[in-house]
Amino acid sequence: MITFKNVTKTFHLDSKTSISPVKDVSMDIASGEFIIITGRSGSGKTTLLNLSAGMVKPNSGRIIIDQTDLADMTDRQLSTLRNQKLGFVFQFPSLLSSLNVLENVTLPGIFDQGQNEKTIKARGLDLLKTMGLADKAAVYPRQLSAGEQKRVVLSRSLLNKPQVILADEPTSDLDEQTELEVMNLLRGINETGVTFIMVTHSLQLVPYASRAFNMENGILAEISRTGSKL
Amino acid sequence: MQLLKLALKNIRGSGFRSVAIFLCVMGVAGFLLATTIIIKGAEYSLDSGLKRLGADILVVPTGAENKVETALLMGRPTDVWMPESNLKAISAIEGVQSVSAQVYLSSLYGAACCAVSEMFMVVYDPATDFTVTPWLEKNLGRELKTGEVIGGSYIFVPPDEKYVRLYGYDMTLMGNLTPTGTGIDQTLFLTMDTARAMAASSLTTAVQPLKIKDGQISSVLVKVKPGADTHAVALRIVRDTQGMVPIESPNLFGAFRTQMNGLLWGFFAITVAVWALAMLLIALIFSMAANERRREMAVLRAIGATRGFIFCTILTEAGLLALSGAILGIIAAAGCIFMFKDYLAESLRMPFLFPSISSFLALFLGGVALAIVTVTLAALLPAYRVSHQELAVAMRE
Ligand SMILES: Nc1ncnc2c1ncn2[C@@H]1O[C@H](COP(=O)(O)OP(=O)(O)OP(=O)(O)O)[C@@H](O)[C@H]1O
Ligand SMILES: [Mg+2]
Repeated sequence: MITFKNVTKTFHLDSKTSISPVKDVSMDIASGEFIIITGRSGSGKTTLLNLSAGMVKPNSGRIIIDQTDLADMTDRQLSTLRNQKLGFVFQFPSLLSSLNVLENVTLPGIFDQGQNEKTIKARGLDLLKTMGLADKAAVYPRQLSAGEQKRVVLSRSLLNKPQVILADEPTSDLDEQTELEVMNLLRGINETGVTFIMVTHSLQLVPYASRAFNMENGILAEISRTGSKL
Repeated sequence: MQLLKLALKNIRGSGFRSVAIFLCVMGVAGFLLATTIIIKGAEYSLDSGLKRLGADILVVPTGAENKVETALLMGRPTDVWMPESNLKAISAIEGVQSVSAQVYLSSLYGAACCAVSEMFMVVYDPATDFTVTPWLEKNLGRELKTGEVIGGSYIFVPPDEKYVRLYGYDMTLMGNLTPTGTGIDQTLFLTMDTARAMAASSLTTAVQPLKIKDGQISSVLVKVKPGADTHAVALRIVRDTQGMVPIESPNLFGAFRTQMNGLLWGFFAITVAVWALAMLLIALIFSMAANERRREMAVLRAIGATRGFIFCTILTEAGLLALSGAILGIIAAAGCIFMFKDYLAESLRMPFLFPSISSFLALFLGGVALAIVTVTLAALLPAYRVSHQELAVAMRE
């Protein structure tokens, strides 16, 4: 599904200093896997996710999604890829403040030609229901708790039925109970065949993963493998 | 359509910024339109006044040019005289087709019939006149009888009365000419017979008698032969006659036109400056807003928006704000001018006639188009920058 071949990303902060948050990373993620990536702050996890979505271009190495090298894709094709095949859950609050919950959730539908508004809306409401947010559809993001916002973002990432979800700390600032609920939701979605790459700080989530990696100074290392989904 | 919706939501979502830009556009568009309408209105007014006179050349006693111009422009009565024999002298000049004499009189102070204190009266000669006769033919179908008058658009019969009374003499107002915005609107037109009847009556009925100088006229209106060069005819009048000056129709109100042109350039310069400042301000607000929204736009990109989409939403927002601001500003400005046009003309001491619907519509469309184009231009650079931003950087802010 997603293959990294010796990917390195270097940011040049100024003419002398540069930093490489992703160093010579290679990995091969199969369809339907649930990958967890842990690591200390600043180790390069977000950069890795950004690379996977084509939002950051690698300095060297190749990133291949569904047999297509991202480097061979035009900006427009990358947009379509992100819209159709990927779902992104950001580390930072990412709901548009001027749109209500349902409008936020259905936003990816705007860029998907050939879908009509009604189906998009119905699907959005359906997702909100699954997340236990059916009654919040008309509410604005600032009126939601952090956990509710996370779940709205998750709903948004699922709208166009993506094949891969790139989730950057989807359970940070959630209490343990809610974290558990969200993880069970994610597992449920994973069981329908959606591939997950999830970044998290909490090691106790590792058992949810089919494989877990740790990142340190830009270097990715596999730390556990269950061989089968839990 | 989706793009439009998103732009609208964004506008609503960022209240302060939207209001600031909206007000900016509204103010400038309103100001621009107001100045244009005033200047156009003055021009339109002068042109209608000239058309009303119907002469190619107006001949007045030497030294009386300004007085006559002011009288015609602002409706302030004047007292200028020259011998009647001048009329013959002019008609003998090569290239002259027809001539008609006019006598300028003034009402006593405080006539009840009119919006002005002293009324300008023009006595015309029905046999040769081409100023009011075309109107009479069309609207009345006959000439005025003794005791009948017609007036400019501001002349009215006082409420509860049947006549216009001047010097204690009653006259029937047979109609009003269409507005020109000039002094002609406050002018009463009458025949020599009526004037003489009024003068005769004034001896017994008025505080001061009306004096008409025998054998004297105030001005001569000249029409040149078709194909004849007006300027050449005017030069011949200067050469072949004494004690009078010809004013060619386009040069009539010349001093005023020059003054107005100065005003026009002044207005224009101010408008350009204000417009440029507003553009700068709008560009600044947009780039500030764009910076604020870099992350939001990066999120949109991450969920599938193309660069073009981001670029277009920002421009659409700008366009919508410009459209609504300009429409409201222009309507407000036009409404104000329309309501206060009399006060305006008086305080600016210039003639004014509200432009016709079609030319107002053209101004309106022009103003709106200008607003959209300039505001969109102001938003162009910020829109480009945000749509082409480095996503990795934008999302880290
Ligand atoms: N666009 C960028 N420009 C410059 N430096 C960057 C950029 N993106 C990331 N970095 C640097 O790369 C390093 C890794 O950043 P990254 O966001 O990938 O870390 P992370 O593992 O996600 O950390 P956290 O757990 O705190 O989210 C950091 O030192 C960061 O400063
Ligand atoms: Mg991170």
